[in-house]
Amino acid sequence: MTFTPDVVYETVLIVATALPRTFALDLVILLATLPVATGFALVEMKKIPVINHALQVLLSYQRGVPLLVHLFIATITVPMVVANLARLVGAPLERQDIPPEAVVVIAFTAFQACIQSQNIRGAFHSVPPGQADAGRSMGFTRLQVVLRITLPQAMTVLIPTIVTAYLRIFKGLSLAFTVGVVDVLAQARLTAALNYHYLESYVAAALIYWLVCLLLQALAGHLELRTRYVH
Amino acid sequence: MDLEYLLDVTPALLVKLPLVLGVVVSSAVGGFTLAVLVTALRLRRVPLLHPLLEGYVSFMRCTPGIIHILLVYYGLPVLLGAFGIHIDALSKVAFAVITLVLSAGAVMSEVMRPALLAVSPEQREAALSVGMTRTQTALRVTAPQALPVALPNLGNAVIALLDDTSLLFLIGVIDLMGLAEVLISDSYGIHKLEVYVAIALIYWACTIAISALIRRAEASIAEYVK
Repeated sequence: MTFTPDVVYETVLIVATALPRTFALDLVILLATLPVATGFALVEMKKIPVINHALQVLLSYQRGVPLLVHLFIATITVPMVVANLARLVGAPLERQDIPPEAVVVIAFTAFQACIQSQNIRGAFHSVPPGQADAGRSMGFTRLQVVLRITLPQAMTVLIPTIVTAYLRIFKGLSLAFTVGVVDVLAQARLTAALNYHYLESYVAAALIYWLVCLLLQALAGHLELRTRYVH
Repeated sequence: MDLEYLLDVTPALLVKLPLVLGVVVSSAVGGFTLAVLVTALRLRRVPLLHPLLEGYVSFMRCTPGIIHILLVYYGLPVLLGAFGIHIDALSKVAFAVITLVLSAGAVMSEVMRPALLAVSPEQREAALSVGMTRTQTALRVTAPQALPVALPNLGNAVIALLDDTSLLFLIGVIDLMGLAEVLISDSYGIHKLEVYVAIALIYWACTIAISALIRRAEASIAEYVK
């Protein structure tokens, strides 16, 4: 096999066309993750019996199994469950009608929510309890305490983790080609299938991942500095 | 889901567990060694080498594991071939280990650097002033203080290696996931779910076992530091 640098440049341009839809899918997953992760974090912080125990098992399972295995299990189970639910309400929806993107969103959201819930918990724990006590002593309601005191301070820790989560999903989407979603890596493979320059395509995809990652890391660092002013 | 088939297929898959754990252990040891080397050089800021090492760490941390395995498997023979070294005869498992050593080396170096920087420079100066050599200082003063700081994240890096073994079948390594494909095509695809659930359970058990080992190591080191 040989390596032709010129092909890398051409392929980078083609592969970059997959960026908008990869970013969009990433954003959908992130937006779905945040409420689920917040719910998980609340269950853990309030130590709700039974639900918390079940959640601990789920967290251990999700973090103990590789994402690719989750994805493969989801491609089988999600269409099955959705089709059965659709039959219950009488909607004409077959397994084949469920797009692979929906499967990816569900699998990634479940996985990412388990990781992000730990970050959310950590962010709230990073606010000293005296802050909330002070708020209560001033006559703030519980909701006011959360919205005006705890949340703004937790945000300084939370925002960089949200950028990191977006980045982690972006990298994780490189697995999505195994179930038929065309992200950056899948686009590179499709390009290579036409010109047989597989190595060049992988290098092109790697360069794009690297560039996006550096930009997002810079963004995370920038946000971290900006939010520090709150203190 | 067919529970009987799940019970049948799990022992069949477990045959591949020694291979998976062997890959994880050898990559962890290799990755740790590489990380020590890379971190030592990064902290010394050797001119010319420094940007290269920073680039290596940044690249490995910024690109997904699947890219690493594809680049090493398809790219390394071409790269080394240009220097007249031919490695086409290497087995797929060897390529897998090389990939995981390179990726763990970067991740672990990024863990070690802050841990080493957390040891105050006075500690080193004190050791040197009583006549210890540089090697003695590193082994007896710096490393024992940095290790407890680094250990939890080094453990996470080992678990990440275990996760990454799920990608090796993409270059044709017949490990757990590779065998899964064989078993699925043998059963004409009807037992796909059972096979992957069995794999998920095996990975889950391995992660729990590795985490428990790391916690024990942390506990014993914490005692030693006191």
